[in-house]
Amino acid sequence: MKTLYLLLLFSIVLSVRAGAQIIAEDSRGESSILTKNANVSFNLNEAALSASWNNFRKLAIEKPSQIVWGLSASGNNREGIADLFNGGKLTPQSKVGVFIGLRKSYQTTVLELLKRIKEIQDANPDKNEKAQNAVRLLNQQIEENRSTRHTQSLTTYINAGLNADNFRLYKPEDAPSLSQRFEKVNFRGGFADIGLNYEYAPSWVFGIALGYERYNNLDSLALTSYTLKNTTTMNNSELTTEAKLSAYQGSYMAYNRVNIKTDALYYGRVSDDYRLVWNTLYTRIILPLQEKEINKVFQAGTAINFYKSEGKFAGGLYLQSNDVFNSLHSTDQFHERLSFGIVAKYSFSSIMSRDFAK
Amino acid sequence: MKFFKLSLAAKGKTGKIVAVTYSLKKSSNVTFLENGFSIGYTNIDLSHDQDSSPDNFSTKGSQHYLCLLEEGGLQVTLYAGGLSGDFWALDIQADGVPLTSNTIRVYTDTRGNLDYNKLTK
Repeated sequence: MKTLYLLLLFSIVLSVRAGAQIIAEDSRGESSILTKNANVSFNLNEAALSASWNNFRKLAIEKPSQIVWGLSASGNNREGIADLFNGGKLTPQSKVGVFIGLRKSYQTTVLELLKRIKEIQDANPDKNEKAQNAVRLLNQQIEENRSTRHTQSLTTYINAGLNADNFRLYKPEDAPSLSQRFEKVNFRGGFADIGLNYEYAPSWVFGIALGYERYNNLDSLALTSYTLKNTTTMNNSELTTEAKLSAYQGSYMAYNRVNIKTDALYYGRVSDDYRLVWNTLYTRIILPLQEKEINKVFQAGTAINFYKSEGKFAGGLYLQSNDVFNSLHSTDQFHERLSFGIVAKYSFSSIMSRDFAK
Repeated sequence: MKFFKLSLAAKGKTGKIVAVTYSLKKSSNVTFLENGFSIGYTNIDLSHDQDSSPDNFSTKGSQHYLCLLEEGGLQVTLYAGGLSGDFWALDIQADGVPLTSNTIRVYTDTRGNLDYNKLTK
């Protein structure tokens, strides 16, 4: 819990330099769409914190093609924040990753014309009328091109990393003593994604990612609270100690799976000051390779964030079905398989200052 | 302040070279096109002028650009792309005097462009 508080404090400190660049992710803070800025987010429902550092500041200036790269990290308590405040145990889950991508602009004609304008300006420092006329002519061509085409870009990326879960597993049958039934498990997994982002301004950004992941079935196990009592008797006196333990119960396994993620973001202007970004429909298709033991799952949801265009803070909601087709047979009622939550997000420009980009 | 008469090719058209400083701010989804910012027929080096915040650009200290001020004003050209609701805002000083048009503010149009190309006083 101390770690989580420190991370929260860290995010608040960072928020001092915030400038909103927001996307709307799923309940786990994941998206197939790369953000343009470094950001820190804190999901109040899942107690999830995520941060990323990248060279996206270079994207402030559009070039025919650009390499983008970055690091990302996220951590959360599997049982959410409510469990923390009830004095429950933290079940830390963390993920670190690196990505590299290529962003291609669809403005190549205009960028070529602008390059020619610069060459003319550099060659004519006295700014004679002939040079001015040439520049005006090229600007007319640019405006004609710009009035018929939308701003668009395509980013292709590879994202890979490690994930980890640290938790206790209750094993009733194996241990020789009660206290040894609570086994500490340190799961270490990994993932690799390949993704595409297509931006069609002014309103739409689409993302799709195909990934391979080493994961576990902790989501389907039940977290149970135990009280372990030890009694020592001496000279007609009894000394009793109590230890409260939280552990997962059930058949635990690690497995490999294929993930497919899609996102469709809509950007809108609410008023002069306020903007919204709506992830109109996101899907997460999870295809385990050990199909006999683990079911396929199809998740879908929608998420919306509101933010001030010059603000530091964004807040929003998500609504997600964790099992659209009831593959896990948890309940026949569709609405009972829905979850929703509140997301608060801070976005900051760059904690590495401009040296990071050089 | 340096006054001058343009070369023969200018056919008598006069203007004066002024020292321009500027401050440009954008919302985070805006991208400026490379070589797409010029004032008075002088290209402004946005890569060089980017602040520690990636959304702010400005001349710093004694830095300035020598630009042509015509009778109708400074020819300001800026090409940018962005998402709905995005904007950029530009303040220009010519020889230390702010332009009357300050602050120039442009929002995203229906094609995702935030373009500006006109004589500005």
